[in-house]
Amino acid sequence: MKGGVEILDAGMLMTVQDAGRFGYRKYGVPVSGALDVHAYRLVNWLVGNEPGEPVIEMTLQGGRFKFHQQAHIGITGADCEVYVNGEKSKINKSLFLESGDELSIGRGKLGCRSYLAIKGKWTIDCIMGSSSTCLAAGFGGLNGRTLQKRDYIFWENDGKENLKREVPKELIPHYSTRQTIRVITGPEWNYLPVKQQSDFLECTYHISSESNRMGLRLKSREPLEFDYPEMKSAPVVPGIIQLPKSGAPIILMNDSQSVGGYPRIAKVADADLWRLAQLWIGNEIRFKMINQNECFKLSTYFNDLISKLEAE
Amino acid sequence: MMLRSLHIKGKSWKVSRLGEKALLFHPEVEGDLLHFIHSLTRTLEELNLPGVVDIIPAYESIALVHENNLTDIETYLRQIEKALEQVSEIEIQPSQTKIPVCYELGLDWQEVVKHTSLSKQEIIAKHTNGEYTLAMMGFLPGFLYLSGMHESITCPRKENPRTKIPAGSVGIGGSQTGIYSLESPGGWQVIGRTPVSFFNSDKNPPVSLSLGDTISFYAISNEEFETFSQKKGAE
Repeated sequence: MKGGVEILDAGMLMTVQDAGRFGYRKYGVPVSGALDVHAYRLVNWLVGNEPGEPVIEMTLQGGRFKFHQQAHIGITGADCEVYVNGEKSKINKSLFLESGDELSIGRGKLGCRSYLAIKGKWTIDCIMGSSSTCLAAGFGGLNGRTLQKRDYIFWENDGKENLKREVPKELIPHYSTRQTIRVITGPEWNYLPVKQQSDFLECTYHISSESNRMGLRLKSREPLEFDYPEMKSAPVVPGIIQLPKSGAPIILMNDSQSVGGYPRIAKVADADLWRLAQLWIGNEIRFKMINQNECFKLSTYFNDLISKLEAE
Repeated sequence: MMLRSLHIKGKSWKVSRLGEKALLFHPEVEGDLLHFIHSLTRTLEELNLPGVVDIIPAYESIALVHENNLTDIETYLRQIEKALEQVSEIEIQPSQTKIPVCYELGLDWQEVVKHTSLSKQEIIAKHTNGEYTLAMMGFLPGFLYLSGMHESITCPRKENPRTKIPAGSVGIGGSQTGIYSLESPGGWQVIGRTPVSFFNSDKNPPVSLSLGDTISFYAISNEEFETFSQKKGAE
């Protein structure tokens, strides 16, 4: 049986995303994919979809949807209010909707990105191995663009049993408007004089309004001014912190380019990338330098927990 | 930051980390780094190393991105070395591509003329006389970085990048020239536009040119640009 959901209100920025597009960065194609990997993996698990299936990523304001068939759905991510036909419902658990039901996902009170999964195989193009929307080049997702009012997402029911699931408490993260982000040194860390290295780690940064899925631009009271020799464009990955001459760091996110010409002074621990994904304009961050082994340890913690869930 | 040197076919590569899942390989050689980089990139690709999700070549290094954390680097590098010993190095066979450019559609002639102290005609002559190498791609999908531009037409990037540069724009950024395959913001000095499109997400690979390819430009008029674009649209 086929199902369909109509978008009544696409909020601020709504796109189809999955685990990302790999193998094409040498052509300059960004990884894309859900920014908050934790929430993404959990929402697919909630509806019993395979890891890696597409979901809808909503930004700050949530959205409204009308289901034209029965659906088994889940919502994770930003702490927000959810209503089904005007009745209050909950995130982080399986929801079973009837044909004609209207789902409304509210503004994130804490956190800014929400994820909606619908059980089944979505009828959506897979381009270069992924269904993620690549906004820079206008392909992937639904016609390579953000979702709009009156768009439809269709899916094929997979015939699997509808499992009633709830995200275990220890896996529900605490979102905050202030975060300490753990970092490791980047290839050009030593371009920074010792004084600026310690300034970078002591400074409080704010997320600037020029931030988006490509990168978070940071503002601080005192920019980290320093001079360095012109460098040739070098490979970058999501989480790399670039420092242009202006002294305002840029943290690269999933939609970023694959090479960059600014010093790569540090890299955010993969385990903390989801925290960045949930920060909004004006929120505060500080950096804490950790070593490579601590970094590995951090990333296995959540990964082990959720892999155990997925294997059930 | 440097982990160790890797010896491949008599050449030495410096290896360092780029986060938890990626390694950087820098050739420790004199001379044409790009040639070594392109050749090792192709060889690594041919190996189909398990778990490797991306290989990103740039001007002075190659990133090898793995799907998992690379905790035991020593063992991993030995595996790579062993795998590389068993294959012969791939020599790049560059193909030649001639790209039409309508220089009348340049947006930043004033700035480039002023900076180089050359006339527009002289700059076009230098630009079309050059033979370029497709060095890398990457600032945007299908953005082509070409090396080998004549020094005399070097021009720094714009202080205030444009918010919108049309697809096909040919620009100068410092000592390089390049092509914006897609409409995008950008800071290069735009001196012309090609009607040829190099990025197509429906094709695999999405870019029709390969790293190391030899590129040259020839000038076309506004009319020829229009005719070419219409023909393309009708295809």
